[in-house]
Amino acid sequence: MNKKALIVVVPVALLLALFITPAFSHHSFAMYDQTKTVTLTGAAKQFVGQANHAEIHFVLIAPDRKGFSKGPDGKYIEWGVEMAGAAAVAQQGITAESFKAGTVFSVKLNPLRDGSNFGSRIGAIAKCPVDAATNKPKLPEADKHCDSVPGNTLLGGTTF
Amino acid sequence: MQALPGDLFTSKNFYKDKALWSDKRYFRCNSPRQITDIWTSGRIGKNPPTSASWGDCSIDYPREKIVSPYPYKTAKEHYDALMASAKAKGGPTVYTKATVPDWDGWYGRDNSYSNSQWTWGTINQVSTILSVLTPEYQKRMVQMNFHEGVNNAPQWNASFCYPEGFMRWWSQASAGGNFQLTMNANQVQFLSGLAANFLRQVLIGKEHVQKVPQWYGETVGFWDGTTLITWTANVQGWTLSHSMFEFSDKLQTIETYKPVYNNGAFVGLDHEAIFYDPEAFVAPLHLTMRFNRAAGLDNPTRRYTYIECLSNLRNVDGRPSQLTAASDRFIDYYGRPWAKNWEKYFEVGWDKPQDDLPQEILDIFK
Repeated sequence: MNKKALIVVVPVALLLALFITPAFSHHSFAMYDQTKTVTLTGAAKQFVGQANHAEIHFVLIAPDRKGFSKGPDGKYIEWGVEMAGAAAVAQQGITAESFKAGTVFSVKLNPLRDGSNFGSRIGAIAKCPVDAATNKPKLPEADKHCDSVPGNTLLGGTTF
Repeated sequence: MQALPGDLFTSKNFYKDKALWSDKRYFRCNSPRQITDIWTSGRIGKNPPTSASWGDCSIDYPREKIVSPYPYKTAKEHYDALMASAKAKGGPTVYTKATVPDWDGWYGRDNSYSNSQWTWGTINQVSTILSVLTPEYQKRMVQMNFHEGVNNAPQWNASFCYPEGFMRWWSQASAGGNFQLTMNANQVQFLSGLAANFLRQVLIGKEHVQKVPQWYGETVGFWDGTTLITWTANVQGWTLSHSMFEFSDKLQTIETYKPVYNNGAFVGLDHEAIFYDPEAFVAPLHLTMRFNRAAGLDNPTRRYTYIECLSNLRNVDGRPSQLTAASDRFIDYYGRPWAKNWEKYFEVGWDKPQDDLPQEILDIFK
């Protein structure tokens, strides 16, 4: 996992010890570390519109927001975030059209336990606004995320 | 409720605890679904697995309501009896394309039936479900309970894009019961699914001819007035998964669909299923559901989304894990995976155009 990622350890929400029916998914989310929340900002590379779980693959933007993060090997650092099915996230405005390559956004996720750059989305996605004059995304300040940029758009939730 | 000296969450070998499986305390009164979710819900506690939480020992759905109320030992016997009843009334009823009941439409499960859906694994003690299974299938279910609840190693069908399997039509999460129904005089077709497609076709007036098991069986049927009666056989044995049970390829069902009217207008179908599986079940089992017609096929916006289950989950050290593009086993389904194979094995060292990030991304910092 990228050490520059902002990691916040949050307490696990304990459900009532009753016969609760949780939100259903196509696979268990036990592979994700639900005690950790990682907040990342990046540029969409590919929207994967899978029926069962849609994904956005993205290139991580460096914490100083002046370029893309690169690993020790000089390669760009890429992440993926898993969400609900493509039809469900489309209802939230999250589609291949709204997340074209180059769309800058921030997302919170539970990362994979094995440390790979992939996670399960938590809550809303914040899209950075686009400057109408330059047609380029307005980036957040260093160590901040798209929710801090005036004119941002929240998708799939009301708070980031 | 007094805990047992040892249970699923303290066991080193659940096979040796067979005498305790009939006691709900062995599972700490967790329902099958709670065991499936015990790690992801946080109910496993701070010192897994021994710190696993207890469920509600007072909740259960009675075994006598799960077992079939009918006297028939086999699906054939049941089907023949229903056919005899129809013949006694001058049937079976034969429709034409013009006269076949107009049930076409989009259906959804009636939520008021949720408190009787024992196949969902949410309303029963594990021990009650085990009580309707044969010893071999009890063992298989407890094995699943142990590896999901204790080892946190779930093996859900959709994780790996395994087939759903016939009985998953009756699971909660499969959405099998939220179907598109189309019908004519020869065939009644149910199409549904969420992680994989369920295609069930009732062949009116036909007989079973398949020689090998089918994932969703082979279904024949007839009409008795406005009641559709079906018999499914030739089912591939599989699993309900999610800490429930497996079923064998001996499984057969008799199902009936009866129209429901409200003020004279057709509004839905009452469905009853009897599950006959002498290999897996100690007695035939029984389940009812109402399906409400939410829209006709003339609805302008409803679509059936055909599901291609694509997954990069693979077992790593016995547990499902999401592979990323960095893994050799990762398949980029939307990125010309066939070309990736050629490039990896047959184009090594070639002088060719280099891939970089898409220009739209590189432009951000220009």
